[in-house]
Order: sequence, then structure tokens, then C-alpha cells
Amino acid sequence: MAENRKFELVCLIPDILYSVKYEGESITEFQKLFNNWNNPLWLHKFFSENVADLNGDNTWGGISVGNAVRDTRIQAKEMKSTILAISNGESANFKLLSDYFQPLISGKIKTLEWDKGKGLLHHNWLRIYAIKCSKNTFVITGGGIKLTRGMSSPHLREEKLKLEQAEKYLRSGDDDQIDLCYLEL
Amino acid sequence: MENDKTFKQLIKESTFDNSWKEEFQFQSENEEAEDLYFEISLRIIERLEELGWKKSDLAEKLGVSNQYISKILKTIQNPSITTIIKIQNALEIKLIGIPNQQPKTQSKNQITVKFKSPGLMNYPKSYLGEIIYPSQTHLTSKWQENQKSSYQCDC
Repeated sequence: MAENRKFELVCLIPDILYSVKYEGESITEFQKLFNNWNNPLWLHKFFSENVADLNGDNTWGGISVGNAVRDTRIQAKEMKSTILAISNGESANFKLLSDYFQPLISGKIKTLEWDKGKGLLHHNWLRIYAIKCSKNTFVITGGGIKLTRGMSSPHLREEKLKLEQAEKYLRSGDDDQIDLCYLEL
Repeated sequence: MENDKTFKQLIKESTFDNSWKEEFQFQSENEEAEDLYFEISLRIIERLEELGWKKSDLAEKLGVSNQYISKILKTIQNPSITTIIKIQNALEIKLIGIPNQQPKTQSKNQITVKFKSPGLMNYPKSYLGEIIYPSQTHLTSKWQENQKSSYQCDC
């Protein structure tokens, strides 16, 4: 990834959710994520290339590449459903978006990623990375499929870099509420 | 990267994009069909891998462009039933079908079970009779409770 790419913010849910859109790109990072997670060819290639992480220490129960693709789609659908409900204000007993974001501590950087796991049937390896700008305002910088502890795999290293670059940029103003986070659903 | 804008400025300058919402909504409303097309694409991908074929091999077999096959495998474009059947034949796999599709001339789709309970012979005839499965499955509790009860079926 090129260093310090220029970006603009695209509003997905007014006052709540924004996404980074890099210069020269036609879609936001948010759209890119869900396009990939809905693309069997992309997912099959990803899991085939990362099959060692998928089956390395039996964390994921020896799941096949095909079933990993299917599970990813199920997770992505759950995420989409939640985001859509937030957007539509269907929140009789609905939580704030901030309830889904978890702090991501990495060195001096406090980031958040969407925490999917709790109580769901399938694997929870999907992550959306974001910068928390106020109590319930988030800027998505990217995301990924997290099969291992930490963010050492190449695709997640790039996501981490994007997150750090965006944080550095957004911190440059006089805003002091900025934190980084990850999102699971 | 330019470093002269605050977050508030960026927010102020942000554009509003609702297209993701329309897309999510559409996918939600058409979930079953979307699931089916996803599964079909995945099975084609797995079969291609199994056969050691490239997308271009399938495209050539079907007489279509590589781009068209790519779009199907990415679920960007949904194939027609005709195309799916052509793919089935080319890859020698089953992708779609009608459940319980059976020939009209099927000769036997039911079994008859005859049962009797010697100790209950004085009871109404129902304790010495038969049931035809699956259209009739009822068994009397008295027949089931009698240890001397027996049954015979034509299966």
C-alpha cells in the first residue's frame, strides 16, 4: 500500500458511521469489504491461500475451504443485517453501534474492531476496523478476515497500516476524542 | 497525505452515500435466491479446482466469454437456468433440481403393515388390522402396550 494515501470521508449513516474512500478508488472501504465477503471467488482464493492459518492449530475445527467460504457469508449477512437495522432506526431494544466495537490495543494505538462473536452460531473471524471519533461516531478504514491471533498476517498488516495512517491524520486537528477500534458482529 | 484538515472539516465535507443501504436491503429481501446463486458459484469453483480447470476452460466449453464466467463466479451476474444446466453438463455435476422429482410410473411408494394383538381379540376389529404407510401412520396405544402384539410388513 502506498504511504499516506489521500482519502475523503463518505457518510454511511449520518452522525454515526463514515467510511474512508481513498483517492482513485470508486467505492468506499466499507463497500469493498462487503463486496469481497459476498464474492465466492474472492473468498475461495483467500482461504486457499491462507489454508495453513485456517487449519494450523485446529482453532477453527479443521473446517474445509468451502465451508469457510459459506461461514464467512453467513457472518457477513449478520453484520449487514445489524448495520441495516441501525441505519433504519429499528432500535426498540437496539444497542448503539459503540456496543459492537471493541477496543483494539496495539502499542500506543487504541483501535476498535467490530466484535461479532458473542452468541452467534458460526465462526467469528470477520473484522471491520474503525476509528472512534466520539461516543457513537465511527470512521471505517477497512477490515479483514482474522484467522490468527494478532495482526501479523500480510493482509491484516496492511489494514493496521491503513488504520494508523488515518488515525494520524485525524489526530492532526484539535480533536481529542479519537480512538481506534475494531468491530465484530 | 495532506494534513491541514480537522476531523470536523472532513465530516463537513463528506458526501452522503446511500447505495450500500439499497444493496443490503435488496440482498435481504432476496436472501434465498442470493444464497442459491452463491452456493451454485461456489460449487462451480470447487468443481473447477477438482478437475484442474481454469475459468477459461469452462468458458470455452460453453462458448461464452471469460468475463461472463468471472461474473457468475463472483455472483455479480446470475446465470439463467439454461446456463446452469449447460454448466452442469460441462462439469458433470448436479447444481439444481426439483426436490422429490420422481417418475410418474413409480410402482411402489407405500408399505402395508399388518398387526394383531391376541390378548385384545375381543376388542373392536381395529386391533387386528393394517396401516398403510405413509398415508396412514396411526397405531392404537393398546396395541403398542400389549407385549404379545406382533406385526408384519410387506417391505
